[in-house]
Amino acid sequence: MTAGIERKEKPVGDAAWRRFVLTFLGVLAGGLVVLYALIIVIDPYDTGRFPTFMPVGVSDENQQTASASNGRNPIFNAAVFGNSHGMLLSPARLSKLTGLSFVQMTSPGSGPREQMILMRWFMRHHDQVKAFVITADQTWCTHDPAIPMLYQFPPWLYAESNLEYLAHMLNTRSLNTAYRRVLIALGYLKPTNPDGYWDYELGRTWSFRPERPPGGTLAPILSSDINRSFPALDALDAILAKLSPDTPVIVVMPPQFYTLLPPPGSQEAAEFAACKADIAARVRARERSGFFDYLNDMPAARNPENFMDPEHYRANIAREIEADIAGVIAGESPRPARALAR
Amino acid sequence: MLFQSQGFALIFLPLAVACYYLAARSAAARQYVLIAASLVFYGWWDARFIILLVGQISASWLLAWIAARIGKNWPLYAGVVLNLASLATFKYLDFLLASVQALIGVELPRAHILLPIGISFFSFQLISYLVDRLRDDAPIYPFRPFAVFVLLFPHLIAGPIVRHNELVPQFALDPLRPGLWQRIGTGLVLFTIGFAKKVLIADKLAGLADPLFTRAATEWLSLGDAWTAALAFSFQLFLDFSAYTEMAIGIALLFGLLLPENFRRPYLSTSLRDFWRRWHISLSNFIRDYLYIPLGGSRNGPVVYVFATLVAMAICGLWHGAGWTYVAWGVWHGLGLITCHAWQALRRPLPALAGWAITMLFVLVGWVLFRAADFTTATTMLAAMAGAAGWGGSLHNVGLLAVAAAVSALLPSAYEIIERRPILNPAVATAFAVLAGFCVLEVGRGAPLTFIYFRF
Repeated sequence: MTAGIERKEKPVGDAAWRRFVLTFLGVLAGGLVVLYALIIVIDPYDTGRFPTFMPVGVSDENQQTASASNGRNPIFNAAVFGNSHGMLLSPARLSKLTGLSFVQMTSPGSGPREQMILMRWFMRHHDQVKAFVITADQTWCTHDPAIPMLYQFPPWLYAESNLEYLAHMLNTRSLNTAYRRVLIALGYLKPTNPDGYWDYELGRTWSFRPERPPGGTLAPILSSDINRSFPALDALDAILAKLSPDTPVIVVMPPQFYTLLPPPGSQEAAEFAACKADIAARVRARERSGFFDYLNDMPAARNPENFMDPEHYRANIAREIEADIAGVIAGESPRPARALAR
Repeated sequence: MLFQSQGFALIFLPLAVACYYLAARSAAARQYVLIAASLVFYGWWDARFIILLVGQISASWLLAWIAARIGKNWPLYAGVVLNLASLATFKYLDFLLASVQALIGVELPRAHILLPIGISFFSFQLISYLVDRLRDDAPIYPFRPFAVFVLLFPHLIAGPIVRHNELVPQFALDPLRPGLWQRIGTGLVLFTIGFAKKVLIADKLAGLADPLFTRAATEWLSLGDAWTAALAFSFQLFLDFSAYTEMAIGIALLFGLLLPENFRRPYLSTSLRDFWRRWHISLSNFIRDYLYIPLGGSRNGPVVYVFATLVAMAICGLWHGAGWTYVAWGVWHGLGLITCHAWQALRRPLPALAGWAITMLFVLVGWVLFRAADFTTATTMLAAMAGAAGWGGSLHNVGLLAVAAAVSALLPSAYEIIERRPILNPAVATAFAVLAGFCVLEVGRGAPLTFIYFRF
């Protein structure tokens, strides 16, 4: 191969090659450094990590990234967390009902881990949190101590370490988002609504045709078989402990179509019930706080007209949940599990 | 660590190259830099397997050394068996158990061993060295250059499969010898071309092919869907693997080393024999020299030729993956090569276009077998391509397929680029730098897709 390489190596114009290499490296390194500096200065996601000359706000339809800007906006003092099961709770209506200023921090597809990251982000940017609404679902009852992330989510965006954030900023997505921020600054683009609300019913026609629930025989439950370890709830406790003791915390388990519920008498149902009881006990320990469990086989959960799909309820249900949340914040004693209208 | 990641392109590689040239005056120091860089590179994926990798290298070298000292061949045979045993354990054990289970009808336990990345490549390189020692066709190298020959990170994971005599002598060459800037410039160009092919085309084709192959496992595809899947995967496989090779050759050139050729625009082949002279050349050469010829080759009569071809190609298939679909793919190509050989013996050559069309159709059918999760999926897909599920549907993303076809056919191979004198002006350098920069920005979007051949 020495002969091979020497045959292939017919050094031609070493000066020309030197110029070629230096131009390549100069343009590549220079270009990347300039773009990177621009991205950091423009602050595409409006994280406020470094001094910037850009105005507040982003043009971002993606809640997973838009929450970086919305969650640090000082006009809000209360927030709704969760995944798509909490998206339909309107921050504007909650604000009107409570006199507080709500922002939607739900992140579609997320689980407890992602939601707790957003909770910490909101708390880091607000000294005075007036209310915390958490829309929980089955994912909070995980037994996995690692509390894995459930969907694509950018934890680096909300990381405490600026280094972690910086390591993820050199890419075409940041560049494109930075460009949109520049358009906002120049007045060519309107920023998205900072309260983070997106109505998933908008532009869609109701057409939910439920399938029949799966049948099957169930194994008998032995109470000792029930796993009562819920690491996500333990982690949540640690976050809530940092809130002022009189900050209302309302945990809501929104309804799903009854076919998604664990079959009565199953191991899964028993563990889910244990998880709910655990949540209720933890919330009860706080002042002006409440737990609403709508995630059960009530009449409203059997009416397809209340749902866009098996997982997502419609506006009429959202309005009732909002009223219940407002009631707790107003100081009414929470009703444990109200049957929603039909 | 992946070549097409920001960590590799912006931190690891510049650092490794800088250390190498700081140590350029001492052959030993240069080799230590390469060993350290290669161990970090490999350990980034899973540090536990460094023990396996270093163990196989050390044991193979030691056995070769003992054989030379005692003047016996048994340590060399033991070395071959050792490497084959490692490969069999880590790559084929569960496959063997499943196959035996299917034969005897008794459920057997599975080992569920994690496949060490690159094991097929480094095991083959070690075997080739030991076999060459048996043939008295290789010297005993000092341990350090021998270790660098196997460990060298540009080729460690997915080749090209390098022979000792192709690489070890190069370690003595001064990297600062004349032609330094030409080697670095060519290396940067090749790395950029591979980077762009992988990130901008091959990964996009994966997004086209993967969902269709997944669907084919459970349902019939339309004619258009089936052809889209087959074409997309065929281009993806070539662009992905040749991109890796170009990046590997490019990186090696940055260290002043030349790796062997692996592709020569195989989708322009006008016969199947031509295809195997252009596709994964380093593997084809290995199979020819260490399997096909020892099995009898073509000079011992037609029966031996058919036997040698089928066995060599079946093992070639099995080398790619622990599954019967891979074996079937190998046998498919073996049969094709035998047919091609017989036809060529008639001395009635086909018109080039007809030869090309038949070859490509044959290769395409083979890729469906190669890609499908099982025979049912492969059969469903091939039947759908023949119109068994109707003649509906159309090709998806024709633009992407056309770009992939054009790049596959027109873009010169790595060695064609090395051998040609490129246009050395600042505008070309700037264009390549912009392309490289765009790829760096594009891979920063999220977790990159690994190269297909990493799993082999």
